[in-house]
Amino acid sequence: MVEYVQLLAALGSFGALVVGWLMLPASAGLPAPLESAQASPRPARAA
Amino acid sequence: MLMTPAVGFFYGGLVRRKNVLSTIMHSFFILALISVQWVLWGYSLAFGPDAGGLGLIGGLDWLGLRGVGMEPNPDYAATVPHQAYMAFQMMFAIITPALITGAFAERKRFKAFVLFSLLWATLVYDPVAHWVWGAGGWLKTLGALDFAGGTVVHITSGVSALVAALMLGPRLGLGEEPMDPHDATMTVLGAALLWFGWFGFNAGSALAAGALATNAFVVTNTAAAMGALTWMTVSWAHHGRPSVLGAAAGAVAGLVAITPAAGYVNATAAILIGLGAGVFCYWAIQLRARLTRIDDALDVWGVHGVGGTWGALATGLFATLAVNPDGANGLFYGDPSQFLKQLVAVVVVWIYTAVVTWVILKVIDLVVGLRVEEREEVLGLDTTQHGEVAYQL
Repeated sequence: MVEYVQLLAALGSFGALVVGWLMLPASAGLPAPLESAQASPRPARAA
Repeated sequence: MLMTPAVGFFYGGLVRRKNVLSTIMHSFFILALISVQWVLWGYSLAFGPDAGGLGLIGGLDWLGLRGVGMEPNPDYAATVPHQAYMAFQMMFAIITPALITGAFAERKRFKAFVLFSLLWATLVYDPVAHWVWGAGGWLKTLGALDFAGGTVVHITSGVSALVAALMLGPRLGLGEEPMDPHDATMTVLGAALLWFGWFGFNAGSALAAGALATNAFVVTNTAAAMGALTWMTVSWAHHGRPSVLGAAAGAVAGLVAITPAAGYVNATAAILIGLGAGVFCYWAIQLRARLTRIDDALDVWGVHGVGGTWGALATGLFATLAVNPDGANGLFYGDPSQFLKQLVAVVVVWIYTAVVTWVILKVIDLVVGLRVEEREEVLGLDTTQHGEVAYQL
C-alpha cells in the first residue's frame, strides 16, 4: 500500500514539473543593453 | 578521492576571478592535510575501540594505523581488508571540512583555515563519525540510520558553515557590488564530477558489490536527477529563467539528501527525497539571503545543512526493511520510533557541531585572526595569500 502511495506521489511530482515547464516563460529575455540597443538604432557617425 | 577536487571546481567557479586559486587550494590542501591526520589519529578517534564505553569517542589504540592491517575487521567490513575500509572512510573525512570552505570563501586567512581544518576534523568530525558509525557509538547503538554521511558529513559541514559565515561577517561590498560567479562552466564541471564520485560514496558504503550497492547506486542517481529538475523549475518559476547553476546546485542538493537514505529507501522514495531537496534547499537559501546578513558565500548551509537534515529525517520516513534487512522501517512503513531516532541524531549533531565550531573559530580568531585585512580582501586572496594568479589573460 505504502509503495503505491509513494509511486503516485512520485508520478504526481514529476508530472507537476513537466506541466510547470510548459507554463513557465520560454526565454529569459534579452540582456538590458541589447534590448535598448535594438530599440534605439545606433546614431549615424558624424562625418 | 576525485570528490574533493570536484568540490574545488564547484566552488572555484562560483567565486570572483581574484579568489579562484585560493578557493581551489582549500579543497586541494585539505586532501593532503586530512590524509595525514586520518592516518595519525583521525581513524583511531573515529573508528577505534570505544574509549570509556560511552560511545563518545574512539580510543588511541589505532594511532598511526597500529593494528589496522590487511585482515578484515568484522565490526566494519567483514570482506575487505581493514586498511581498505580505513582508506574508504578517509575520503569522507577529507571531503567534509572541504565542504565548509564555501562559507568563508573570499575572506578567510589561509593560516586560520589550516588551523581550523585540523582542529575541526579532530574535534567535530572524528567524534560525530564515532557516534554514528563507530563500533559502540551511541547514536549507532540508539539505532539512528546514516548510510553514507547525512549527519556525519552534511549536517556537520552545513551547520559549521553557518557558524563560520556568522563569525567572519559578510564579504566587503556584499549587496553593493556584483559578486557573480566568474566561471559557471567550472561549477557545472565540478557538479558533474561530484555526481559521478557520489556513486563511490553511496554505493561504496554497501561495502560489497551486490544488491544493496545496486539499490544505493540507483536511488543516488534518481535523487540527484530529481533535485536538479526541481531546483531548476523552482528557480525558473521564481526568477523567470531556467538557471544552469541552479540545476547544478539542485543535483548536489539531491545527492546530499539521499546520502543518509541510500541503503534504506527505494527508487520512488528517492524521487520524493530529491523533490524535497530541490524545494527546501532552494527556499532555505532565499530566506537566509533575504532575512539575514549571514554571508554563507557559496550556500553550504542551504545545500548541505538543510539537505542533510531533510535526508536524515526522510530516512526516518521512507526506510524499509524490504530494501535492507539490516536497516529499519520508517514512519511510513509502520515504525514511528525510527523517525524519532533520526530526529534525536539531527538535533544533537546540530547543537554539538555549532557549539564546538564556534569555540574553535573563537580560539583561532584570538591566536592568528580569522579574516584577511581589508586591503587584502579587495586585492583578492590569490595574490595576497598565495602570490599567484589563476589566469594570465
